[in-house]
Amino acid sequence: MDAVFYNGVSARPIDAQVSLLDEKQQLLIEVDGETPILIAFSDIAITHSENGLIVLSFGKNPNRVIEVRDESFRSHYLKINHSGKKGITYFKLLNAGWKVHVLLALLIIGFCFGTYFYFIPYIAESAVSILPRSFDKKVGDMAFEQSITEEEIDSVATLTMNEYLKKMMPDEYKNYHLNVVKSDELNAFALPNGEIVIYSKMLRHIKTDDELSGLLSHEISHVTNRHSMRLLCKSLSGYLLLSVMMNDVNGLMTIILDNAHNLQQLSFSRTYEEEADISGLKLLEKYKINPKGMIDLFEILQKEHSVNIPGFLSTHPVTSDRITYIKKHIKNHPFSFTPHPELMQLLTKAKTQMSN
Amino acid sequence: MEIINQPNAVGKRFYPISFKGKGSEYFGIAIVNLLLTIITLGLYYPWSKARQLQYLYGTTEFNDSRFEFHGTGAEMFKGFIKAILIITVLYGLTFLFIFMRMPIIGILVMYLGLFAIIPLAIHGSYKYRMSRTSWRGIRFGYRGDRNELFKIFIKGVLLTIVTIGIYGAWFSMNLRNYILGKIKFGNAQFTYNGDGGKFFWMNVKGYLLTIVTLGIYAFWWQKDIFNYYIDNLKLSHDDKNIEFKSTATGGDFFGLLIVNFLILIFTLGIGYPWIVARSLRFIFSKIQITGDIDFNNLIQSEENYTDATGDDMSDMLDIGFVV
Repeated sequence: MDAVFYNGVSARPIDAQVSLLDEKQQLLIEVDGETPILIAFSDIAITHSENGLIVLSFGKNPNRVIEVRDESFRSHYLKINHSGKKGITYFKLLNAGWKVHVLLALLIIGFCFGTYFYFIPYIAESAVSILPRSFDKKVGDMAFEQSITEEEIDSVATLTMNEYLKKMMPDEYKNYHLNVVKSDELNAFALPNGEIVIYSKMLRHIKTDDELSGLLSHEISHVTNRHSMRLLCKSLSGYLLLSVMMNDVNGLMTIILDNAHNLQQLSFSRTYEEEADISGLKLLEKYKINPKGMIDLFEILQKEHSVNIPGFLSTHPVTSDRITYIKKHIKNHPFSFTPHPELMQLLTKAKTQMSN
Repeated sequence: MEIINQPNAVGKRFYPISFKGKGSEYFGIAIVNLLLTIITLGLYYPWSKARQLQYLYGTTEFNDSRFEFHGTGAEMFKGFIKAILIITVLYGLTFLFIFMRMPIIGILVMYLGLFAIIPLAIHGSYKYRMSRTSWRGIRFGYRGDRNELFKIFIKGVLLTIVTIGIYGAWFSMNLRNYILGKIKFGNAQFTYNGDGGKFFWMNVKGYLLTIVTLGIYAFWWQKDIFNYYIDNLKLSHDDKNIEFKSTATGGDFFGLLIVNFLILIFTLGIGYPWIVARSLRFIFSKIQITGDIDFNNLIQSEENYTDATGDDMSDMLDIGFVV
């Protein structure tokens, strides 16, 4: 087979004859007037290979090159060369055709998306556990300062409501503080520092103490489960990943603090809501409060929602699905409850104080 | 093809250069290598780089023969590890100083360290890359002196800072003149003859016109820079020379870059290999080489150099390759 040989000393092309010794796994190069060169396939590097051209090189010094412009030689060489077996998977993949390549590309893109949208947020969410509880308080204080101003708070009703909280759950009340805020928005939320905010409109919609207890137990459960913190971490996962990898807890805290004002805009996922509902029910069980209040509350809210009132519902999506599973949970975990007239009294008191 | 390689009236001839790679082929290589890199958590990267360079060199043809890239994944892997070690030591020192409550010294060490590493990385990178590049078995080589380059670099950076960037044009030309002037192609010698003043005013003009034309002139500015890089390059062999000339126009660059941008956007980045292939095809199709060197007389003269540390370091610090 005709070939062009470069002897590694000069760039002058030398006409040569090459033949493949299949059995011996060797290449024979013959040049007129010179001793033939016999070289093992395993010592030859394929410098370039494309349809109709193969460039082989061997030897470090001098580095000799042989160029063969013949497709049958190329395919034959690639077929019989066993020393290339190491890279067999590589070449199989390489020659698998564009369909396989496009598929691989899609796979890689999918992998990247998966990492970005699921894996990294998951890691970031888990990172919450390395943050101390005292940090929740810091974030909550900051968010509270930024979202609530003094004049908005109905201080008289607020006092009564904290009385309510104390009576409702004497063990836990110390960690929480209720605020009644004058607003036409139908909303209530809890911050990681234990500050619970109820808008006056929400309080007006609540008819019984069981409903209010249901709402409070739910909000408190968001705090105990660190939902806001987890959500913040999740939504800031891009930045957080780096600080977690470097075990830089301070950096992590700074980023979260910078974003504390976003706390109210975040809406919880269904998983979080369900978790808060179930933990809330456990709290109700502890203090023998009728769990039906929680359902009633959601039903009221759902009705209101059909008249299109944003607020609580945009951050706490109420679905009939949710009411169904609460009912189911109550049915599977029945517990005894008693009426709480003292709580009802306080609720009525707060409501009259508000209307003044 | 008959006309090519035939000496014309003044004894000059044209030397064809072209990129024969295809976006689809390069895409296959890039995808397979990316997959292997991901599966091996990045360890395959040096091999992947070697394969891709091998393809790009192997599909570039000068005077009817292909370029050859002889670098191996193993060489680059060793360099990769060394480069990581060097950078780790630098970071380690910085953190040590910060830990010892001397943050200013720590940051200073970091900046000075990077400052010192860059010229060394450029030096190592050229030595390796050139030694691993050959054509018809004849190696390229970089014969620059590390200390010399270091001096040019330090002087350039300091003066650029002092002159609030103005010296940058001279700095860039000094680097180019030095580095390219130390590149050998067998026993042939490259020279680059850039002038800081010309380069400076060209960039001032480009900058101002780009603002005035709301960015449209940027393509013509790009063309001016590209042409300046190509037109001042020369290769000499004994008393014979070849000269490089760019035939690219601003319109050519407009077409190239706009389409590249569209490919990148509409393929969400997967089309990157096509961008590489069509850019290389563009670049080589716009370079005209004329002269009287007989490449058959080229003799092997450059040593093998297999330490890829500088090359990997440049890669990590994202220093573009000048050639």
